[in-house]
Amino acid sequence: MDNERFLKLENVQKSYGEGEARVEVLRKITCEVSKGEICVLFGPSGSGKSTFLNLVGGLEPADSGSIWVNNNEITRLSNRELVEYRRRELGFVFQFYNLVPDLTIRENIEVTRFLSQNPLPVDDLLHSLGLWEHRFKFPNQVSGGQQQRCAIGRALVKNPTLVLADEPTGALDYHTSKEILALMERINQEYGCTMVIVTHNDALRHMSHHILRLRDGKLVDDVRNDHVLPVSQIEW
Amino acid sequence: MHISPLARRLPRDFKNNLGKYLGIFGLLVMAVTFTSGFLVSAYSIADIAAGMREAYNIEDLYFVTMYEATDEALDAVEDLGARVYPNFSRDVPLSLGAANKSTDKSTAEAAADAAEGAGKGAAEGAGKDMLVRLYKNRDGSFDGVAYAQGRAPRAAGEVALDRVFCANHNLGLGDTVRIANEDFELVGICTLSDYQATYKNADDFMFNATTFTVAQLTNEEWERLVGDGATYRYSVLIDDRTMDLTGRTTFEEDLVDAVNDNGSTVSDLMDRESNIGLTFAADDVEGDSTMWETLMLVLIVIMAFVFVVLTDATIEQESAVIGTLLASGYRKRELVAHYMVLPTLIGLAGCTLGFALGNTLMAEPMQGLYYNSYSFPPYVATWHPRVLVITTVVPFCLLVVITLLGLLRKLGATPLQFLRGEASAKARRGGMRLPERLGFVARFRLRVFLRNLSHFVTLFFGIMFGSLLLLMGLALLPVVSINADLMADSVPAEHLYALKAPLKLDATQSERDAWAAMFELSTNPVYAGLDLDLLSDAVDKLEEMGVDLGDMPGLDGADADGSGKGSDKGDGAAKGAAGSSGASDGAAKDAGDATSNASEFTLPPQIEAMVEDSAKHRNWRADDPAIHALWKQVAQAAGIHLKGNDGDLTELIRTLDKFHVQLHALGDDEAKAAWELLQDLMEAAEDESVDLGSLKDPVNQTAIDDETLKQVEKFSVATLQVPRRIGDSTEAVTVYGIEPGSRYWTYADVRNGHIVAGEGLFSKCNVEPGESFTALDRSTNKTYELAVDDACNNGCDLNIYMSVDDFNKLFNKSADEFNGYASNVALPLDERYVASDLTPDKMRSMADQMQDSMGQIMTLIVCMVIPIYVVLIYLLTKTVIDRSARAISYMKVFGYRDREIDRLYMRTITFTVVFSLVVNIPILVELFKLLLTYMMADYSGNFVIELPMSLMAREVGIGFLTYLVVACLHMRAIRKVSLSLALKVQE
Repeated sequence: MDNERFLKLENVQKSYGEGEARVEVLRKITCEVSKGEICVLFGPSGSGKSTFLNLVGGLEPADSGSIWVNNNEITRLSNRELVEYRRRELGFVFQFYNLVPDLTIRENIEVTRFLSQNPLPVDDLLHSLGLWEHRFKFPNQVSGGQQQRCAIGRALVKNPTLVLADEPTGALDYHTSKEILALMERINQEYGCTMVIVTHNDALRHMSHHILRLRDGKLVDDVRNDHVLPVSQIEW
Repeated sequence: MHISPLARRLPRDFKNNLGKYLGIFGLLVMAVTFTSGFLVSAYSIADIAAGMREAYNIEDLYFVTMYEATDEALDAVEDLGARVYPNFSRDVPLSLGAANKSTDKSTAEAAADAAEGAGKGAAEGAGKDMLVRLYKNRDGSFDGVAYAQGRAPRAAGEVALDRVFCANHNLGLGDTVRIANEDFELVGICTLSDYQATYKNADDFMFNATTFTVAQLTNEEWERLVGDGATYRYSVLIDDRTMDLTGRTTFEEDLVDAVNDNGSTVSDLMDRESNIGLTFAADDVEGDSTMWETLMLVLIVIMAFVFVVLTDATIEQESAVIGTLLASGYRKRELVAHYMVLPTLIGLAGCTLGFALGNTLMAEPMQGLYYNSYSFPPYVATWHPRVLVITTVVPFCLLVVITLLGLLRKLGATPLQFLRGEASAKARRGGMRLPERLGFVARFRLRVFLRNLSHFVTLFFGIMFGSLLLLMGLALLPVVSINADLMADSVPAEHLYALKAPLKLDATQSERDAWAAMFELSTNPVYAGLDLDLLSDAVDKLEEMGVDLGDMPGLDGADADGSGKGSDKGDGAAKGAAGSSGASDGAAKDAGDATSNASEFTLPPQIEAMVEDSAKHRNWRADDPAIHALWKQVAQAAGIHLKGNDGDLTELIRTLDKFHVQLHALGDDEAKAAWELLQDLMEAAEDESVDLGSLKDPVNQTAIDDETLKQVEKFSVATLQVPRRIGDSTEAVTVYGIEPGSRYWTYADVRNGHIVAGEGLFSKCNVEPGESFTALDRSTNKTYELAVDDACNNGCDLNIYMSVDDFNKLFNKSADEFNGYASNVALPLDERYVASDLTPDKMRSMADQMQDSMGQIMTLIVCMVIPIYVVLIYLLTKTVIDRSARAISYMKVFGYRDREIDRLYMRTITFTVVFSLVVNIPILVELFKLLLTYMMADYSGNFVIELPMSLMAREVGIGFLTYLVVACLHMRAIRKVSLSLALKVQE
């Protein structure tokens, strides 16, 4: 696998429960995401989007199949190696931000900077994220959008090769969501990191290079978008 | 090196969770302060007590003689391998000066204060006559003196008094005390090393530092005040200071013989291990140390429990953050390190501060527990790594290790589980379906209960441990009180007299007179120059020569009836003097010898006159035929026909002459007194009812009426060491030989060879009914195989009972031997033969003293326990209430009123607390019994542990009140949180 095919899944399966209670969440998923792409993963609730993201993030193991990230087959990695993988390659953005409440905005970003060998400058990032004015505030002193920006900053400051975002705008209003998406778009362009964004919001397909759609654990769409629109031009 | 930015959240985390961390900090500080404070003091005092023997040359034993011992007797003792020091004393009245500089209270008030406050020494209370035991200044060669203040008296009118007595009466240097109606200035406050606990008498059940004390005077003042009225006590330091009890017992037997054979008589002897003035204080410290170590163990368990709970709560609370950090690439060890920092720092600070406070702030009060009661030399703290380890290092390590293990266990969940808030197994299990027939409120409450089940279980156990701690503080004194009653009930008669020798009670006046005469002649060193064996030899010789002394007319009409048996009497007395006391042994033997010789003095006056005349001139020889002829002539005139050859007569004459010379060498008054004593003996011998030969045992000098005698019962008693169930120490168990069908020991059926024992023996010692066990007599190092058939009496009773016949067989005693009397009426026994008089009141007093002794410590424990209990309940309920706080906020957002929310949440928690408090009662009782058994393992005796219902009600009440206070604090905190904030946190 070359760098162009930065992320590759091959016959990945995942189920929960046993016996009659067994639920197949992902069924033989095979797909590829190229380096620097924004890949959006759609699907209704329960379709397996978050599980997809968790498997790629090494947060849980696949039942079968293989996942390669940046030429590493992460499905073969031990837990210890998975930690190093996440430390080196990944940035996570969650729907509910999960900021450390008793660290300031700046400190929340610095939390992961510390893990990286070549982190991005925090001040630059704070300016880019529009958080410079709020850098000394605590999470409960800023808005949800600002908290999510901070969460994105926390994911990016490590200068990761892959950003996994789980419903990053799910808890935000329309305008804030657009701001966040525009931010992610800009970061993608500035830093060239690959992004996999899980969302319910169908409008996001316009900003993405690559669209995946899941239904009942199956990959039903895997298309490339040759007409990417800037976020500013997207409405929903 | 990178420092994790997470480190910056530490101070904020501390501030945000101030209650939790202050709780842990407070718990550690309190636990470590109290326990280290106590144990440092107790161990240091134990060191001081242990070191006193060498540092102050404390005696290995002491003996008392009837009169001042002869030089020969003391030399004979020293020849056995010991140094002997006269340690004479006299008890005289003492009163405290009215215008003392440092006494701002009346004596009565001070004594009352001492009785109330100091507790331990306040045995007899205020307002009674005081006594001071006067000693000469000691030079340190034996039973050294430690001066806390001032100096030894150097001049007339100066005195040094015991430190505890001075403290109890606020006496200071320069104060005036009246001793034997003379004013003395207090120039020294000191500790006499042989009076660490000021027991007036060795057989007292209580020490007394309030109305009895000891003092030092200059030699001249002592001589002036004491004169001839001293108690002749000699302190003995055996050359081999390592000699064990068995060796010392043999030594002590030899000592008695040596003294008695050299013109003196031992009336009392006390080995150092039996001298409670030397042992009681150190034993008390040791027993209390065990109690505190047990308490520390409970505290450690409680702290471990709290640490586990708080660690779990922290992880649960931080679940999302941990998940995010893990997902971001944090290693678990980095998170473990992060979450370890605060508990470690708090623990280190708490333990360090606690240890520092324990060694400084608590040092004095803790010392005071003992120094207010016992007279030890000035306190010097000694370094005991064990105290640091068990009070400080262990709790700290426990905090660190338990937190670490808790974190490792909790962080075993996957990052995803943390992100989903499923870090705990119960969270992953999902909800339980509840029956629809239950109303909404009931189901809601049930849900609250089930959701917090693990926390409620935790709370249950937390309340259990906290209540146990509280119970330890509250219950010990009532338990002691119950045991005091049981101990008093265990005394079967109003008086149990233990005797030093088998004292004869049913004697006639003649027998009493005879014994008194014998005793005086044999023990008074004035008569030491009389070799009564000479008279015995003369009797033997006369009998050989065919003289029937019974038919021989004696002086003053003395009948020879008794005297004829004289020689037998001497033997009998010697053989019979096998009492438990060496002193009486010697006394009885010598007195017996005196009896045997009495008849010889009834020689015809002509012979007496002749011998006297001859003695004056010393111009005759015993083998002179002329003298022989004269003797024979005079004897014939007196109706005595002397057989035998000239050699026999020569020997008889020489023997009698020697005795006569000795008698007249005494001086006129003494010779007259000796003569009168011999006459008394002879008069007693006239009484046909008196069998002087049977007077092998001492005879009580006061007549006892028949009614009283009827209800007196003899018994035998011995002490054996029986292995305890806990530890490797032994319990001193009393073995009684009693009459089958005894009127006193009604609960002990010892007929038909039955052996029974108090129930306490089976609890305290490794003894099972019907199974044999080994018991050791420490004084002889002899072991006995015993088997007890059955239990009797109550749990406080550890005695073994058997028939007196079985007893005498077991201990290889003669069939009629005994060493005790049981009586419901006080008997006027000669004190010199009474080892102890045990009464129910004395037993109660002993228990009272124990209560006094433990009272301060128990108060201290309660003072320590209640704050710890509050902190414990606070921390545990905080985890439950914190967890429900968000849900409560939701309910408020939905429009529920506070009262309704209380119904849904607080009632569930309250119910759990009440349920825990009540259901824990039987568990607590059992745990308390178990703990107390261990705590009391080193104390003598067995505790029956009964907890009155009123006490348990108090326990539950305190527990509930504590919860109410704590719950109010939590509710107040929850209600102060804004609703929007509560919802925002959930985002």
